[in-house]
Amino acid sequence: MYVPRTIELSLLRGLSLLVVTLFFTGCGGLQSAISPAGPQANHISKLWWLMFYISAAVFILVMIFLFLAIARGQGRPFGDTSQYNTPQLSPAIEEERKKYNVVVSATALTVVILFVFLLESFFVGRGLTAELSRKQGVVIEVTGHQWWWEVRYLNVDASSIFTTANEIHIPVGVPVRISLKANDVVHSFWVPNLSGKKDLIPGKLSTIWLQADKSGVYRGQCAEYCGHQHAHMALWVFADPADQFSAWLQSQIQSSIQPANESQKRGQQVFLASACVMCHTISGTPAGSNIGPNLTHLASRNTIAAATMENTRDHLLQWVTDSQQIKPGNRMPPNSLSPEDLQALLDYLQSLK
Amino acid sequence: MCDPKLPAIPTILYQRTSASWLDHSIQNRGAVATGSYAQHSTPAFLGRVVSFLFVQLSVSETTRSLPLPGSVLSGPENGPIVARLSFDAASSLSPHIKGQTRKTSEYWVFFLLLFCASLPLTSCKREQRQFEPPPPNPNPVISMSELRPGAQAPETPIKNPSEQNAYSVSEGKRLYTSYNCSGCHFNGGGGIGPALMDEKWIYGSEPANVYATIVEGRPNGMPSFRHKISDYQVWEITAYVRSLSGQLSKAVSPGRNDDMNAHKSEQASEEKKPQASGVPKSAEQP
Repeated sequence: MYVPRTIELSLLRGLSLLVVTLFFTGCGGLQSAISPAGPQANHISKLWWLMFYISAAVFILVMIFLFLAIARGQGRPFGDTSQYNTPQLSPAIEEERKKYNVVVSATALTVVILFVFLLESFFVGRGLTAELSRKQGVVIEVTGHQWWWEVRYLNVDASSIFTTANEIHIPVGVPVRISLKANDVVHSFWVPNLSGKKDLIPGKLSTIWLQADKSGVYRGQCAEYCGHQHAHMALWVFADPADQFSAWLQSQIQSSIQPANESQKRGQQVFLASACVMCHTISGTPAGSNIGPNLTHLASRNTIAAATMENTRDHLLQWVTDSQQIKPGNRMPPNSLSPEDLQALLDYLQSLK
Repeated sequence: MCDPKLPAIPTILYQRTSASWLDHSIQNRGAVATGSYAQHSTPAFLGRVVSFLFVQLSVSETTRSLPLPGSVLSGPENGPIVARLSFDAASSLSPHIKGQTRKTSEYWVFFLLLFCASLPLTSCKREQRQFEPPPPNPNPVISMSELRPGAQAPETPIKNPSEQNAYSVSEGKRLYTSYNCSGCHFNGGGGIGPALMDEKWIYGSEPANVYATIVEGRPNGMPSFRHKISDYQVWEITAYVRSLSGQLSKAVSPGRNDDMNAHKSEQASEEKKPQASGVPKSAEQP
């Protein structure tokens, strides 16, 4: 084991480690505003880079002038404040004029830069909505709950409307209109690779447009503090090719799969006879409450608990028995089921493809 | 109180310089981590921080105005404005101090600030949130035996664990809508089911009566929620149902509604004296 000889050495090591890690924070492509995957995110990323370059230039200029000033004061003895004690009441006019010009031009430059930012961000804001608002594509309704996302695919044909949770599938190259609602408190929908943030406000319907030009998986996150488990309120966006998307859509429209064996049948009975049925929906069964996530096709999802955990049998077991250990304060009560009932329930839940 | 030598204040001053207060608080936090500390340790810790700041403010000001021989700290002339203001206000407001020496008033300010610092501690348990609910009792104390129309309270009243806590009651309010109690009882005014915000209680107004009503169900439509609603949630709903008619203290009743409904909050509802009432006319069997 490495034992640091001096405090300074370990401090240096820690500091350099921190600096190195800082370089990596911007590299993740899964949830990053500067690796855009669609036209909206592209606009935002361009604005970001413009602001970055101008701010960096301003910073470097300020630093240069600061060090120049320091260098000029080098000759003076430290703590010499004699020049401040006798204020110069009649400075040379030439000198004054020079200083005046510097201050005025610096102020003018600042105003110009701010106007460039203002105009650019105005046009980016217009570009986010104007382009796609007239095109018809997929319409999705996303409702924020403490602490998960309800995702509802709307359709003119009422039998094709279905609800899922925490995972959004969209076709590549097709504009998607997402209507945002909230059930309890203010949340914010943010998938950095695809678009900017938009708040979900109770009692108000807001809309965000996005489009993915590259197929892939993008992570989203609630971006407005909404309570204890705000940090564990994430979602995944799957941008699939058109045929893959329509296959997924067809499978999700179906009612739940009926239990195939004895264990799954018992699991369904356990589900319907215990506290599960008070909050969750499984279409095709009497369970139809809308308080918790819709579980009709639970096994087809990759994660559970708002992208907190991978969807495995072990994680499901932990979640069903005592979810408060995993996400303290979440709305799901602990369940004490007999081991046989629990295994049957897990069999049933895992069969819900 | 009237000792002009002020022996206590320099002691506190030394405590600050030796950081013994800090050591003490760290020990407390260690105890919290190991779980041996009492439930209300976090508010107590916060209260300690607040009182510490208050005391420091008052003490640093008093020591500055006193020519203490051998004083360790000789701070700058301009003390914190808050301390100076409170000090001046206190010494000018109390008439019996005016004529006396300044040193007595310094004691007065010290105890006043200590008192103020302890005030925030009084309402600590109101918002205590316990995310890990206690395991349900395998042998329920509430008798589930026979139907008893009329308001008989059980011999030993059972305390509802949720009735002292504002968070639990507000959770009860949320569950009241989530579990569709409002489907029949509406917002307490009743409709399909009996009203919950009046003084009439068909099956008793005690927490145990309400608990039994939810768990067992009642004739003429009230379903049983046994095994459907967790034990602790039944207690939360019970607490909320009782808050509808003002049976709970105003400190824990929900103060507002999250929706646009125009009805009054539970906190604002006047307390109704529970009365035994038989089955209402509408619910009588023909």
